[in-house]
Amino acid sequence: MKHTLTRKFSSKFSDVDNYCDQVKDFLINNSLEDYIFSVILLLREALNNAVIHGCNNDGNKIIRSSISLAKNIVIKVSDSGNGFNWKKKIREVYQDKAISGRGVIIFKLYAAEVKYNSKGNKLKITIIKGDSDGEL
Amino acid sequence: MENYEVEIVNGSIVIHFNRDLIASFVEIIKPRIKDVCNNSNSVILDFENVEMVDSLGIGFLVAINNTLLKHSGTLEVVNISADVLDLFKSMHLNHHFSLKGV
Repeated sequence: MKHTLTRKFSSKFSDVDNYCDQVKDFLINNSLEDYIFSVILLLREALNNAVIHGCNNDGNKIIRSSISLAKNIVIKVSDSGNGFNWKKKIREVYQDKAISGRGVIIFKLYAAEVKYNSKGNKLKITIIKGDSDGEL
Repeated sequence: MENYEVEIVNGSIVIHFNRDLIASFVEIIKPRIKDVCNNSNSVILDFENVEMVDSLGIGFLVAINNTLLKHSGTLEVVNISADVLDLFKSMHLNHHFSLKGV
């Protein structure tokens, strides 16, 4: 069984959907059904950020992503854009009636660790296996 | 099956979503739902066939509620899966409109 899935695709939401479907199947094939919701949620947030902020909704730009399954689940996302000011983004506090700004909260709630490179176009998310339901 | 279906039940607009409320779908549905929200005092969203909602989907729900509040309308989301309900409560959406699990 393969333990890493790597893909390269256009910066389009339709391509994000296709990749997320592949990751879902990958998790099922590796008996990690319990992690589907949290992994796909985190992956979508990372990829949405890459499409919107990293690539400015330019479908000609390319996104690369991988998911590795070992002791932990590790998601990596990089894009060919100019990066974005993630330090400013993670300090922002969303207002209750705001229609955006909740992606950072999702990272904090569902990931064990989130790391950007300094430019802001490469992201690594770690999810600790065994952390999903609090059972032995 | 259509991406969504709209019906009127006891004076409320009921929208049944037949796919996940994620970026690609929000792009499509947002302009279409705007008129529905401007012309109704009660909107019920049926999540029976929704497994995933991303932050853009959450923003879309907040936008619907904001639009309804302008004319004292109400929003209710029903048949929410356990995972999505946990996410919504973490975002305190239950403080702003009604959420009902499966």
